Amino acid sequence: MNSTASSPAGATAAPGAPASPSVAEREVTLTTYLVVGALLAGLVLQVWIPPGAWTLVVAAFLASLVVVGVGYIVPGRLRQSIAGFRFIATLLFVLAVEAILGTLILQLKPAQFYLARYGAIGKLIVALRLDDIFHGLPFALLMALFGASVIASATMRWPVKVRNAGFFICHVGLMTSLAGAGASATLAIRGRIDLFAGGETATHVRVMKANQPTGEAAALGFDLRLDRFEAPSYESEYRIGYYEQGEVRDEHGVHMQWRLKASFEPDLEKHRLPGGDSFQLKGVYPDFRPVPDPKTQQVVYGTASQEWRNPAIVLQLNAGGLPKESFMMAARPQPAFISPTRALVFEKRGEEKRAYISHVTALRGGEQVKQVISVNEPMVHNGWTLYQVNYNPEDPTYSGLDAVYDPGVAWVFLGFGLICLGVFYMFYLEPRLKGRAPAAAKA
Amino acid sequence: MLQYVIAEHPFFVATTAVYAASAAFYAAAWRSTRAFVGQAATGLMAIALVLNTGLIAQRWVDAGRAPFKSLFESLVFFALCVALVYVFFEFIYRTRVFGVPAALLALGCMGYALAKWDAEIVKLPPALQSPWFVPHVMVYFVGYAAVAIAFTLAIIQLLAPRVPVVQKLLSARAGTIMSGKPLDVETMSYELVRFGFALLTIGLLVGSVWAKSAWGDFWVWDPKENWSLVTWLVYGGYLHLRRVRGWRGDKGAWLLIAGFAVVMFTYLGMHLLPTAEESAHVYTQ
Repeated sequence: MNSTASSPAGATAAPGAPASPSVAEREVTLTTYLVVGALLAGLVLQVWIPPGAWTLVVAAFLASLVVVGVGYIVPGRLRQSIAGFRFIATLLFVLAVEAILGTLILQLKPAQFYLARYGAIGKLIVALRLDDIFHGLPFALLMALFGASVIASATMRWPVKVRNAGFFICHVGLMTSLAGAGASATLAIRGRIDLFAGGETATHVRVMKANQPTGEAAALGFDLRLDRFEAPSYESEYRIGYYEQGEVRDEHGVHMQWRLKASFEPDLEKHRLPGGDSFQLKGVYPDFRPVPDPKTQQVVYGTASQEWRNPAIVLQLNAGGLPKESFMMAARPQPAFISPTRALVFEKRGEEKRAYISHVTALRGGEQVKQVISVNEPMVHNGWTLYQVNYNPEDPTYSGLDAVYDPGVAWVFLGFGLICLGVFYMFYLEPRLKGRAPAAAKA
Repeated sequence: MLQYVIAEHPFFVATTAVYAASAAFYAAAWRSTRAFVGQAATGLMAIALVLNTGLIAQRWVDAGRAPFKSLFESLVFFALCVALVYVFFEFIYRTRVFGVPAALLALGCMGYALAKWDAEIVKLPPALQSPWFVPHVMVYFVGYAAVAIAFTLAIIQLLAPRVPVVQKLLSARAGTIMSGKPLDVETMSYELVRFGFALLTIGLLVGSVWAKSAWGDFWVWDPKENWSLVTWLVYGGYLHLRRVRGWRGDKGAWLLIAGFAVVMFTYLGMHLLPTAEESAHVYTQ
C-alpha cells in the first residue's frame, strides 16, 4: 500500500514493484495545477460572484460534478490522480492553510474596519475577499476538489466489501455532513426574540445574519410568552486573598497592578505564603458583633450567629519573623501589608451567575406548552430550536432568545456518527479482517 | 512560590516529584542491564499516575465540577493523559525506551502548571455546564497525549540514524525492550497517531454537537474551532501521505513534529491570534 502512484488502484500494486517516477511526477504536477488553478479561478471569479452561503454551496456542488465528469471523459490519469492519497493530502494541507488564514484576519467586518486596521494591506484583504474566506469561491472550489476526490476514490474502490467498508462509511459520513452543512448554510433561519416577563408574546423572529439584523422577520408559527426569568448566582464565598503588585503591559503601556496570586479559606490553620512568610487566623466571626464580656463587662469581638452575614477575622501575620495582628472585615476590605508590594485582604467574592433560566409558554390554537430554556438546554418546538443567549442585569424581566430553524443539522450529525464509525472501522477492524484473509487462504 | 506550593499543596509536589523520579529511573534503565531498574521506573510511573488521578479527583471535589476549566487544571489533566497513554503504550509494545520522554512530558506539564498556578478555583460559567464538557475535554486530551508521544517518537526516529547513542537505545536491552525485538519506531508513532486521530475526530465532532446545543450553531469558524480543524487536517494529511512512497521516513517524522506544533498552538497559543478577542475558547492568561 506504499506506492509511487498514490491512487487506490496504484496502491494495490506489489510493494516491491519498481518505482515509476514519471507517474509520481505527473501526479504532483496535476495536483499542483488543480489546487493552484482552483484558488486562482476562485480569486478571479470572485470579482463577479461575491462570497456567500449560496456561492459556497452552489459553486462547490457544480464544480465537483464538473471535475468528476472531466475525470471520466478526459483520457489519462486525471481520475486516478484526484482519487490518490497525494492529491487528497495536498488538499487537506491547503484547506488547513485557509483555515489558519481565517484566524489571522478578522472575518465579516465592514470594509472600513480593514482599511483602518491594516492600511494598504486592508485594501488587499477586501479586494481578495479575505474578509469572508469561508464563503468565498476559492474555498468553494477547494471543497469541490475535496468532494470530487472522495467520489473518484469511492468509484475506484467500488464495490463495497466487508474489508473496505470503513472507507465508504467514513467518506459517506463526510459527504453527508458537508451536504447537511450546505443545507444549513443556505436554508437555516437564525433570529433573535426579545421577551419580557408579563409583556407581549412573540410571534416572529428578527432574522439575523453574521450577528447583524437583516431587517426581515420570520413567523414562528406559534406564540411565545415569557412567564418568568431568573438568573441565580453562586453562593457567596469569603476568602483571604494574597496579592502582589507587578508590572502589567497592555494597550495603555506599562503600569503597576495588584494581582491575586493565592487564596485561602478563612480557617484556623497556619498557612504559608508565596515568598516564605506565613499567617494564621486567631479568630473567625461569621456574624461579627462587638459583644460585652460577661466577666469583665468590656466590649470584645464576638459573633451573633454562625451565619456568614457580616464576617470578620483576626489575622496574625508572620512576616520577617515579626508577628503582627490585624482585624479585618469583609464588608470593609482593608489590606494587611506584608511589604509595599505584597498584601493580604479578607474579601467577599463576587456572586457570579450560575444559570440563566427562562420559563416560557408556547401557545398554538388552544394548545399550551410550558418549558424551561437555559444555556445548554434549548427548547425544540414546531421546527424551531430556542436558545437562551441574552439577559439584562438592569432589567430582571428581560430574556433574549435565539431561534434557529435548521433543516440541515440532522444530516450533519448523522454524518458525524458515520465518520466516527468509519474511522474506527478503518483503523481497528479492517486490519484484523485483512489479516484473517491470508490466514484463511493459507489454511 | 515553591515554598508556598510545597507547604500548601503537597499532593501536587508529590505527584511532580514521582514523575521526576520515574524519568530518572527510565533514564537509568537505558544503561542498566538489570531488569529491576526498568521495573522500578514503570512502578514509579504507575504511582505518579495514581497520584495524578488523586490530584484531579481532589480538585473535582473541591471545585464541585470537572477540573478542566483553567489552563492550570488542563495542564494537570494533560500530564495524567500523557502518563496514561504511555503506560498502555509500554504494556502493548513491551518497551521502556520511550519512558524518559513520556515522563519528561508529564513533568513538563506539571512544571508549566506551576507557572500558570490558579490563585483560586473559579466557578463554571453556564455555557460550560454541559454534559458534553467532560467527554469533549477528556477525549481531546487523551488524543493530544497520543500525538504528543508520537511527536517524541518522531524526534527519536529522526535522531536515531544520525546520533549513535540514540540508535543504541533502540537496540535490545533487558530493562528497556522486554520483547527482545528491534523497535519499529515509525510504525509505533503511526499507530499512536491513528489512535490520536480517531480521538481528535470524536473530540471535534462532540465539540460541534455541544456548540449546537449551547449556541445553536455547530460551527462558527471560531479561532479555536479552526485550529482544531487544522490539527485534524494535518494529521489526516499525514495518514494519507503515509501511504505514498517516501513518506514513512524523515518526511513523515517531520510532518508529525509539525502536527504537534499545531496541537500545541491550538492548546496554548490562541491568545496570540488577532481574532482571539472574539473567541469563546481562549484560556485566561
